[in-house]
Amino acid sequence: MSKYEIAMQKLFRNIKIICRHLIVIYLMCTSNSTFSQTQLKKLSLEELMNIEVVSVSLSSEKLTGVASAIQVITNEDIRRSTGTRLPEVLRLATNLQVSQVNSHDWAITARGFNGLPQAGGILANKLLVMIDGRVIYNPLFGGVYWDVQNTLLEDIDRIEVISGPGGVLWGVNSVNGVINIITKSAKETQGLYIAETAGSFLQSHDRVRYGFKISPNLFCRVYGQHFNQKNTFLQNGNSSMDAWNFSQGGFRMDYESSSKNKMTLQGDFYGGVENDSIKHTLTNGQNIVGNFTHFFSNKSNFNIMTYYDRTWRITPDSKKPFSYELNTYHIDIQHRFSVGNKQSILLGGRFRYQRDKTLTSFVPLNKNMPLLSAFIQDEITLIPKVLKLTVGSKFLHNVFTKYEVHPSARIGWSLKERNTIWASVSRAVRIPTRFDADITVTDYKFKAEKVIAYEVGYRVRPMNRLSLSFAAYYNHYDDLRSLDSSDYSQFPIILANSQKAESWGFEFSGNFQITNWWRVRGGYTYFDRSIWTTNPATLPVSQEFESIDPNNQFLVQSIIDLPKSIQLDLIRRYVGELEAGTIVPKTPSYYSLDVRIAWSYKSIEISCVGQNLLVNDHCEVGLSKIPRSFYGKLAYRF
Amino acid sequence: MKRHINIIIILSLLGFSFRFNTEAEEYKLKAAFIYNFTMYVEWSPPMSENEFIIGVINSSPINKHLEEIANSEKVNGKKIVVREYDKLEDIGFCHILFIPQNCGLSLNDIVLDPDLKRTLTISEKEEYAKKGAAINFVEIDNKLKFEINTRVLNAAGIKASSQLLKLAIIINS
Repeated sequence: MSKYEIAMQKLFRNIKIICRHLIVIYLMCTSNSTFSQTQLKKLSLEELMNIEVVSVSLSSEKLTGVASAIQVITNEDIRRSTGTRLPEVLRLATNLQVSQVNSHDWAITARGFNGLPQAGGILANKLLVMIDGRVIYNPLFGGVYWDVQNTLLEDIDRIEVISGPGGVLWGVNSVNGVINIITKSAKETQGLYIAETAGSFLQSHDRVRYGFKISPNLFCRVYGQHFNQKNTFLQNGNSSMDAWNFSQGGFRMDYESSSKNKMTLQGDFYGGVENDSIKHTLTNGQNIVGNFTHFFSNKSNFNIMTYYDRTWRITPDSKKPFSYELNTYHIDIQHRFSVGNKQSILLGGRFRYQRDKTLTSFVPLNKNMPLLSAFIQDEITLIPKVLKLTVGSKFLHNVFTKYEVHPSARIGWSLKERNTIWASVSRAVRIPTRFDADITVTDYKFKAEKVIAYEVGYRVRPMNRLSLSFAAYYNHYDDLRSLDSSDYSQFPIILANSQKAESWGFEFSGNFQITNWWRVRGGYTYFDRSIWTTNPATLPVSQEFESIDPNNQFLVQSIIDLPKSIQLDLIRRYVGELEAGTIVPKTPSYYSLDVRIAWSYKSIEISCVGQNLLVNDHCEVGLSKIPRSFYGKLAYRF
Repeated sequence: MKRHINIIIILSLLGFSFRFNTEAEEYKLKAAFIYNFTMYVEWSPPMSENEFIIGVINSSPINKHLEEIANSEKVNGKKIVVREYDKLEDIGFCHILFIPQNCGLSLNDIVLDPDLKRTLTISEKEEYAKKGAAINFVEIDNKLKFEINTRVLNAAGIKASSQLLKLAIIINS
């Protein structure tokens, strides 16, 4: 080979390399859109290592840049906890206040305003709660009947808990928080899962799920479960006679015709029998949810979701038989798109039609409740990767108060991708429920409760293994519900809007992978409030009707992998005292300790769990005593 | 390598603005990485199979991206086949095995499987390279990097080129 030829070869090689780099640079300069697989596979390793990752789901590490007080409970956190039912698992989000009232009832809220939890938790009326987009709080009280919410925990992908009014994209009632329960797709839950639990408080719990493939793009799962829960105890040590049992079944189908279209069809049906000392309650319900998403690109998509839900309960043998049936039809459309490369716009509309049937107390007994809402949100990138402003508003029309507006503005400032400082101001309303508007029928028209919420927060990931979040807030409530004495002969007490309140507090949470075998997560929450009235006719009981909340609470969950496939997990909790009201005594503060030991061999997992180990029993809201309990669980995953 | 850097510097001096905030979906990117690895790795004894097999435990979002590559590319002139294994017993010989984060099987059981003696195991969970996977993806500052456990590689009789090792975070355990 002559010198000339060698030189030509070298030059040719250099030209080739330059061309390759030009392609890369071209891609880097032009791509606000993302890479296709064809482009990606042509890149070298060095080039690949310079591309940023867009994650499909939110994990605790990816949350660093999120500008709101969100906490996420992952499937792993649930698996390694001692909880057997949804409300127990929600305790793992330390920005929620969760209290077990008796064997079947729970009082759950965020940022306080657990109204008279002794009443069974139905007066906690400022949360939006959804399972796969299906709203589960009811328009009767504005609370959730937690006894009939029994998703198979194994199939939950994650639970997102937002304290504060959340964004405008969330539906009505997201006044103090949003709980968004997201189950896994059928594709992620293939195979057989069988679990059997037997214990001292949870007497038995049988679960089975089977996931299978119908065609390469179509996956399905079916599941069923049944459990028997024993009674709690009265203050004198006798049984509260509130044992109950519950059965639920369901399915989910996921179809992905291409990476651009996703379709889901899912449904559940359930029924249960609950005892109380002098009466019993029967429940049942059915729902079906359809969801379709089309992805135009990574930054633009269109989603349509629709569902039908029926829930029914009756307490036949009490003096005043209580019966409630609610039928909900819902459709929700959302479109996300970019304008330029600085703005991402989310547009949406919802229509929900609810019709309920009651037997007593409510006037009218049956009511149609159409609810129309629309929202727009603009996420503006002020400095790429650093400063982001989100503004938007929700507009809604409801049958009780007609038009309402929920504006919100939020700013997030990220420093070196590991620190985010954020602040927000939002206005939210709680539209009246049947209980507020249709029990005392007078000239007084119950108004919507309003809150203006100011929040600041800081998220940091000082190292890869540690993430911390801090949020502080001040809320101002107007037109809060009150019980006022009245001149009406038929109603000596009426439900009115004479109270105002202020609340403030902070939430601190963290997740720390200390070593490769030991992870600790948890948080501390402080809450305080002041409620006053603007009307001398307001009865003092109004305050406790709206809020009986602990000032302090914390939870620490320790997750340890021991050698030989043994897991040792602990949950330590503290909940502060609930003050006495005019009609309820105080509930002392309590500590609790739960322990789980599990051993797995191939696809079998055996676990032993002790709950509330520190004392014989404890009260969470001053009525029933929750006993110390144990259970054993055997699970197969094929 | 040096020359590449020189060229990038020269080009940037010529007025090309670099934007490194390019993005790609996590699993698209991981699939491209895996395809790239095949060019820097030699299996021994030399592959006798007619197909190049990439196994994935359970379904993972990566499958469809690997399949997309398999449809158009070859490794050492061999057709790429993507196989999905649902349980440990199903796993047969494969050149590469991808172990998804939540695959439900213990890493220990996987790496001790006799069918996988010569397999390049690739995982995506913190500490997994230390625990016995040959290659492990890690995310650092929103970018994908990879760890290589050279001992695992040697035990499997897999030779990695020095170029690959230079880019990797080397783990010895």
